[in-house]
Amino acid sequence: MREEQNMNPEDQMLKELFRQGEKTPQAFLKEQIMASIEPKSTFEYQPVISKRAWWFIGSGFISLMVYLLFGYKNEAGKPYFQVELPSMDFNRLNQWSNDFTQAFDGLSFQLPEVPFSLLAALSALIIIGVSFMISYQTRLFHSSH
Amino acid sequence: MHQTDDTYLIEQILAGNNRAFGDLVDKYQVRVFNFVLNILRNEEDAYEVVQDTFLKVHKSLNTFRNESKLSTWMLRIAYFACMTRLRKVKPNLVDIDNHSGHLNGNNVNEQSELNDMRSVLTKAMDQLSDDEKGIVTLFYYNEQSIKEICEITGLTDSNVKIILHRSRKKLNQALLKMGITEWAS
Repeated sequence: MREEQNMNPEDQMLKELFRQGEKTPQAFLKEQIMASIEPKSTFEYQPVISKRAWWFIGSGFISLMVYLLFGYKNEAGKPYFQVELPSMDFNRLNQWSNDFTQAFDGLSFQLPEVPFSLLAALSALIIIGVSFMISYQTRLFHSSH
Repeated sequence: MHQTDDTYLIEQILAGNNRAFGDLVDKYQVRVFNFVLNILRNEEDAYEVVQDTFLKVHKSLNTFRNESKLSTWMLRIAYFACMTRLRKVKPNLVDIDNHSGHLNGNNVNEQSELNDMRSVLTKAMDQLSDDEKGIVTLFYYNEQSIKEICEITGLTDSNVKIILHRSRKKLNQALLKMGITEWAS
């Protein structure tokens, strides 16, 4: 730090000019600076169901679907899903639209007789699966912004 | 004491204490703001540059090595921010001959217009180049030594002395033109 005594009168005058010409910045300067350094929202969503539990639910759901499609048979020996595909005739190309409509006339989808508890479990699994997909997409959206 | 305070503030800021950074802003904002304002002469630009300077200080504080004073380091950041800003936008220079012709008086207090020290300073500083403004402000206002000014500007010792000598001459001439030969406290 320079001693003022060592400064000549010209220097002292200039120093005084700068001192008296000092301007105080407005309060918003500090506010803006502080607002800029404040960390952005650090709120993190904690999943209610852990990743491991989701794997368990997912594999259970797939196993159930596979069993219902290929393994399940009721007392009458009927499978869970009974889909009868229609016989389609595409040979007559000139009457394509009519034939196409007619071709699907024979389509029938017959729901089997299933116990209520099984249906409820299946519905629950579907709801959980859909909600998982929504939350996953939401998380992807937040992480990309 | 001064340096110890700064060291403590730095430690606190690096530990994530935002209040300590607020104290640092309180401590240095006037000095940095006036330094920047004297170079840029535009308040709006000065506010932006000072804000950028403090943000950069906050971001880069972990790279500060205590080899110089914190104020010197901050002024260096501010100086280069000003030079970058001036390269982008060249401000209109005020012709002091046309603006100070009506200002006369041997003592500052004799003229009400001259009582506004800020405008006197601004008019006198208009005679200087950007480099000169920075160096003169660092020397007279921020009380930086020649060595520290060299650190801040990257100029050599002899260069700083020459610029300072030339600037002093220009400022005194400008003040004389305004009729100011002495200061009344």
